[in-house]
Amino acid sequence: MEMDLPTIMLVMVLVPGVAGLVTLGLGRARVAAGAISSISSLVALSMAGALVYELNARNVAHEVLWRLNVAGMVWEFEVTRLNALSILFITLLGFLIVLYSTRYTAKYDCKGYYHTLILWSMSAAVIALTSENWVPFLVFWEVCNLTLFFLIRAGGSEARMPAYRALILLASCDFLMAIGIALTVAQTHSLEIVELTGLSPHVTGLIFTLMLISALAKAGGIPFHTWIPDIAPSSPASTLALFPAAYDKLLGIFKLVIICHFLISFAPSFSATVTIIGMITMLFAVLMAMVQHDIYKLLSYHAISQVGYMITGIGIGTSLAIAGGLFHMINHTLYKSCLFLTAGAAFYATGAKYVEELGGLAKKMPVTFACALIAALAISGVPPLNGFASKWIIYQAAFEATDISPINAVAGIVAVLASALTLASFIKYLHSVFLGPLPKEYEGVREVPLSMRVPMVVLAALCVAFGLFPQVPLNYMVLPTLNNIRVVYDVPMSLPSSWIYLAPSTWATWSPVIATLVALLALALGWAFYSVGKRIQPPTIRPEALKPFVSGEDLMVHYHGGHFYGPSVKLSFRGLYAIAERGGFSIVWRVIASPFEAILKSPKNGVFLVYALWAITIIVIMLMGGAP
Amino acid sequence: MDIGLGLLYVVLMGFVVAPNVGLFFTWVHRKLGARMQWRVGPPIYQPWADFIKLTAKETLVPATAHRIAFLLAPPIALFSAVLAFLVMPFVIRSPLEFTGDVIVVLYLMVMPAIAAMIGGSASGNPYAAVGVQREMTLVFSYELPFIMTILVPVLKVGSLRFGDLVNYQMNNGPFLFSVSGTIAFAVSMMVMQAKLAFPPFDVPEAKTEIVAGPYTEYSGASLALFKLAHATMLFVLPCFVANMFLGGLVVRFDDPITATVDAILIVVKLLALVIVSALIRFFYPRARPDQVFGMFWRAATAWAAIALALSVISVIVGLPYL
Amino acid sequence: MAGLITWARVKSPWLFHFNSGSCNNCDIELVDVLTPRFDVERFGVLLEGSPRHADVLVVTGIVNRQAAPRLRRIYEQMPNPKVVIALGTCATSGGIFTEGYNIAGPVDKVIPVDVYIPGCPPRPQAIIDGVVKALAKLQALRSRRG
Repeated sequence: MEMDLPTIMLVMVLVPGVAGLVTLGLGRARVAAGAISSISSLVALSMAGALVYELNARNVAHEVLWRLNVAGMVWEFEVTRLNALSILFITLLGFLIVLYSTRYTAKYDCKGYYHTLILWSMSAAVIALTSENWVPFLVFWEVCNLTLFFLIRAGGSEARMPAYRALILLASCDFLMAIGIALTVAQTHSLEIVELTGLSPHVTGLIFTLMLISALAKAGGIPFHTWIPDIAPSSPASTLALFPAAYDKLLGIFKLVIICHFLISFAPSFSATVTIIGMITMLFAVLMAMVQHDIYKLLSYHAISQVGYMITGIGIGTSLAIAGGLFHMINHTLYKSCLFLTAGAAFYATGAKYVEELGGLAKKMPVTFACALIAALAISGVPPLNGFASKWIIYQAAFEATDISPINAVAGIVAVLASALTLASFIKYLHSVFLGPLPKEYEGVREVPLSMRVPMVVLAALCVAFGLFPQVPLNYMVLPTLNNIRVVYDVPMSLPSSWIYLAPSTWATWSPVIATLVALLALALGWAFYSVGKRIQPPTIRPEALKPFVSGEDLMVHYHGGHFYGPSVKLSFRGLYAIAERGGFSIVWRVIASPFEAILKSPKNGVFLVYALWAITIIVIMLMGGAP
Repeated sequence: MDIGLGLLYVVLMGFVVAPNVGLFFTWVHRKLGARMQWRVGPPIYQPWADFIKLTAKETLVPATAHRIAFLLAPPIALFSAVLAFLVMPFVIRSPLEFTGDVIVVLYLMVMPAIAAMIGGSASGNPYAAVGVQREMTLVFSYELPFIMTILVPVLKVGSLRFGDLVNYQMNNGPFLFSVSGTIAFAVSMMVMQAKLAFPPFDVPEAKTEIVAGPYTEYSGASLALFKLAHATMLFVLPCFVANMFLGGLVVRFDDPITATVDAILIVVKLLALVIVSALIRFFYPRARPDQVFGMFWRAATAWAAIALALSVISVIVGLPYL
Repeated sequence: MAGLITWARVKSPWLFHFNSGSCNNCDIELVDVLTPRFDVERFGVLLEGSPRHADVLVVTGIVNRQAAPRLRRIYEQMPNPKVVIALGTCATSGGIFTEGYNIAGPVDKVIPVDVYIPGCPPRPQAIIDGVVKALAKLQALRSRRG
């Protein structure tokens, strides 16, 4: 059935929107709400898949969907390869999280609007991504922030203040973006998102800074990241898996790419700034993550650290680097969401969130453990999973771009170091939550229900698939996006040689066939030795023999993850951690957002103030753009 | 290269040559250590006897362990060590090389440590948990200087491919014969010692402190495989360092004399690295974890940064011996 | 094949040393054996930290009541095939502590012993002789169900 793109997009946006209204009415009928929202988001997902397929089949870079005349403005909606990439993963993650939250929200008193919020944020994000006009872009971007606010609120009463703080931070950064957009509109006299040319460097710099702030705040780059660890302890895991893991990156990095490589001409000073921000984000976030005791906070700091990789990729500015950054963006949504979902599963089963309390869940929840293991290895960049594939591209891009600027080589080094530290942190996570001894109170824990397992398994399987066959997402989704942006550094993309025998392809990272072959041989060898050993010396069942060796004692000492990295990391970096504890890193947030809070002495009124200012700015923009 | 030949290469080089030469190198270590201590030392067949004896013992999986992760960890360690070796040039330029393989090998060489950590965690033993933490501290201590030392030849050649690095060295002389190369070589020897968890860096398996670290609960065939993986790493790491800094391990088959000289040089280079590693191992006592952390994050990183700066200068200014 | 395995077991005996209430003299003599002067590594003997890695359990000391269950547990935790050496007079027969109120008896009252090395303390040469006898027993072992 030949569907044209406008129809596809219409279905993709309207079906979740309508379904959201329906589930709002359903209230507490959780199963029905879950079923309806799952089906509708699945429809949206298949539409997104059809969209990508159509774009590939027709080999177009962008196509205009609609032109609407609204109040004298021309609102144009266009699908490009870049936003198609984001749209596909927005719908994918939306569907999986909707499925997961069907049972998960039983833990929270959500009043039944949880699914509505996810569906509406999906639609709003899609509209925001496809708008070629500043006004709908701003409006639906804010709708996403609002849905995030309510999704965080669903976590209960402790989530109220963090939700307000997050909303204020995001809204005030978006207000700054609105000012930047106002400047843009003043320069171009049009409300279209077009390339800016012929501006003085100061004006470009100002616009760039203002809009960069908002993109960084949304994605979670230092120093605007503080809202993410703030909301982490009290939000439901499904919110965390949806927004900080997926949507924020898909939207924020999309915006960053548009700002850096489409809107303005990317001067070397901008490149250096963005790359340095990326480096700092990568390193400091992972150092903070390593010493966390709350697993949600640990994972959220890692989300920030991985954003650093994406920012670095985009900052370096060569086509390989941008491709690496975008590929990392979609890989991150996969493994990070999977990790948050596993943490949520552990919380669902045990009710505990701290590394001191958890342990040994691998035997009771094997599926969750397998997914967590795959996702943890993926985020650490272990071959042959997807995290390694995208990190590898970023490293190569960084080291090859050393001629452009030595900062890029330093960025590459910091990236590898952050990867090692990420690994450290996830060994701690796996050991604390899944491996190690099982505390007595969790003897009765069971595996989570099927609707929660399916998303985790799907995400883990995609991690493996994208790692073994990275050329599929790269060729069909990531590389075509380069047609939509202006790449400043015209370094010919050094794709790894296509000479990988047994797996000829136009773009092969390394031979997955050889690696699989060696893995199978090693496993076969291991199995051979094990069975030969069993034949020679059959194991006898001696219960005492199977107790762990604790110097002959019959006790279990639980050396939990909270003890990890104490003497080495915390001691050596105590200056850094002291600053963090005293709130040194949230200074920027306090500077930006607190005026709004302080003036009216209440966060609620602070929110109103910010949005009032924002609305005023939008009206100003519209007037400048030529609306009557 | 057709499939049959490729398969033969993988099986022969990866699973026959690498582990056995690695076991031989462990014997070199033990014999040299014995000689340093005025002893006789074990006979040459000792590592193989150890391996066979371990295979023929019971494999006990403790009740607190996650069985699959526990048993899968040793083959994963072996697999990554073997795959890292297969990608590197040895005698010939590897048929499996590709652009960017240096980074892949870098990650593959961390994987035996990861496997040991997952296995140790999975065994549910508190000594193993402490060993896991100490091993992880060791790993991220040496990663930073290691990546910096790798960058020294990479920046000089401008390529991330083993074949190119080796070609450059065959034409221009080993990187050891330049100031930045020497410093980087010294730091990489230090990192190699840490990767193999030999004294002074045998923090993870500190017998007098934490029993046997991550390997406490392993017995029988799984322990045999871990020891085999460790022995393979003892072969893979000198190959890596020799390829990076000592001129490569490729034999030029132009005429018999060059070929013989190259073959002898391969043996000399590898043995030299193993012997130096053994000398350091039997000379030094064990360092504390925080001392190790400080050594790598301060001294090693500083020297590696100096080497990196010198190599960048040499590329810009054009002085290859810098 | 079986010959190869027996050869390997004899050529690579790994020790685990357990002090079950000894005055330490036997322990000192055992550690002496492992020094360069006597060099048992040429026989493949290594001292291991975990009983799971070891083949030979060397027990010194009279086994007092507190140590007895731990000794039993460690013996069980060692994988088969294994050999037990009772080192010293106290471990062998109780020595001067036979009438003690706190002992659970010499070692063979707690775990099965293969080789007894009497002496107070036994000289390192005697210990090596005992280890050789233990290896002979290991050679005669097919698959012992412990």
